[in-house]
Amino acid sequence: MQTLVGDPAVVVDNVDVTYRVYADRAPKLRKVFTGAGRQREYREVRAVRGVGFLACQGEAIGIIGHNGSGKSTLLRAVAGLLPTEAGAIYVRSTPVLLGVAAALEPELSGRRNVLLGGTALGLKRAELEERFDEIVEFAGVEEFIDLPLRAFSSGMRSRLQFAIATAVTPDILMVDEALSTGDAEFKERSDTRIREMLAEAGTVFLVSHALNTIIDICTRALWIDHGRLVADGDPAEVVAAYEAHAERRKEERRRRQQGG
Amino acid sequence: MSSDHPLPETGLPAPVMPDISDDPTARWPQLRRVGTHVPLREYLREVVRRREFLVAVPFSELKARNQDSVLGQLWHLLNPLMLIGMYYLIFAVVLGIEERRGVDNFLPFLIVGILTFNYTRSCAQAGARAMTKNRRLMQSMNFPRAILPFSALVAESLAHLYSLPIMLVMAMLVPGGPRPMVSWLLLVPALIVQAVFNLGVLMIVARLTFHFRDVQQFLPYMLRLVLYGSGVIFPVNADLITNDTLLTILQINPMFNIIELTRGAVLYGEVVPRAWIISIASALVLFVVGFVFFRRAENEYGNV
Repeated sequence: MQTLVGDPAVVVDNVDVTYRVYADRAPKLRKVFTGAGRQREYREVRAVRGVGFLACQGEAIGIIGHNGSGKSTLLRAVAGLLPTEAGAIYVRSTPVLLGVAAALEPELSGRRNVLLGGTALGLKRAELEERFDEIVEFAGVEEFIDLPLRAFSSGMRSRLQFAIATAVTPDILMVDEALSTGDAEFKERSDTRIREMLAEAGTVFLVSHALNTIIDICTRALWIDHGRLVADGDPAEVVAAYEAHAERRKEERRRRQQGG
Repeated sequence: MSSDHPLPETGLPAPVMPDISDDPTARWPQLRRVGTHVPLREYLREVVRRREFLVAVPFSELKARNQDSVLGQLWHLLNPLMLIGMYYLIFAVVLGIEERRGVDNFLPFLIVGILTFNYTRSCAQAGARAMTKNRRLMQSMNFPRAILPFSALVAESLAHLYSLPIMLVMAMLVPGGPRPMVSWLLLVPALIVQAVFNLGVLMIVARLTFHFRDVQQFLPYMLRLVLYGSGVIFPVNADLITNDTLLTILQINPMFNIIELTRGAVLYGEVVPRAWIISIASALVLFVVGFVFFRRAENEYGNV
């Protein structure tokens, strides 16, 4: 059993998250009138099933799993952006989620985006102006700050986003592969920033396919497979098990191809 | 997912579900449950805490709007002007509504009608855009969603306030138009009443559009119907509408009353008590209904 570092910051209790994906086909008009089409046809995708864990202050939790395993869905549910189908989630404060679907507006300048993002996080305008240079410098986009965001490279965008999100040290930070487009130098800076947060007893969740990053930064790793939590523990051990599993899958596939 | 995938072999102990069968907030009071209905007071406090965001959104939007057109911000003004010109051509010049239906000074009547109606119309249209346009924002940040309709109201109100002085000047320049008078002060409460009314409309349209995207297609026709039923272009009176029941229905229509009280204040220097009472009552009802209706789906809006 894992020793608790501090009080729990996030409690996830047996949670299911289900997407209802409505059929591409619209219901037949006749069915709408006869009442048979009242319930639109949909398919349920059970993206997260029966996941439960406690996350404590000062923990950095890496989440790994194949594409579509439900990692991002889980984070969005914990951030309160998606309703849960079953179970309950408790948090100490509203998590700040840094995702690939950036909140930044491509038509507006970098400056206005800092203003929008910062005030959305609840920063006062005066505080924001005070920290403005710091944010821009951290993101390393000084020369571009007055250009519309669509002129930024994807790396610059994610750097700016990270800088805004961590302008005030969030209590719970969730990073969803958003840092994968940053370069090596920025990776170092963001890793440092995350370690500083951990020192201030924050809690960090990190979804990444860069398994080395997980081993480097995280104190714990969760492995999600088809929506289920299959391993929870020491990052090096979990990553090793995950890699072994991926290796076995690859082997199986190769054998099937050769056999067929 | 219908087919169940076999669990991968991990070689590690299976994760243990934490023992939190009872309410964990009893043991750790600092925790709160995600996705539950936030009490109204706390909700409003969160809205107030982010007031700078509430204002930053519409300012950014007004800036981005018409950014790519040659005439740019001028379109805020040109749109109603062109509408007024068009209706004047059809109803005054072609159909001769002034002589036949006893409307004195049709042009000032039309100017005030169109601009007042336009404020509510642009709010309804902003409501239809509010949730879809800010999808990315909602997917990545957890703020009280009511901020989006609030800030849409701020944006439309600013646009309306730009056009308002020009409306007054225009009405004065017309032969027989009004002169500045004390009753113009009533424009302030009139605008407040209309803003509250519009916020209700905005929140209802916003949630309806979120569930049924078709509302966006349907809305222009609804608005056109309201335009003709609210005495924007021609007066709603017994001369023109001979069916008594229909006339009564049209005369309790809140939009008609908001336009009538605005005309009373700007053009005729009079206070129509019926218009004020119906307008204030419907604004309050619509606001409360709209707010409750909008907030019911608070936790769903991120799921688009």
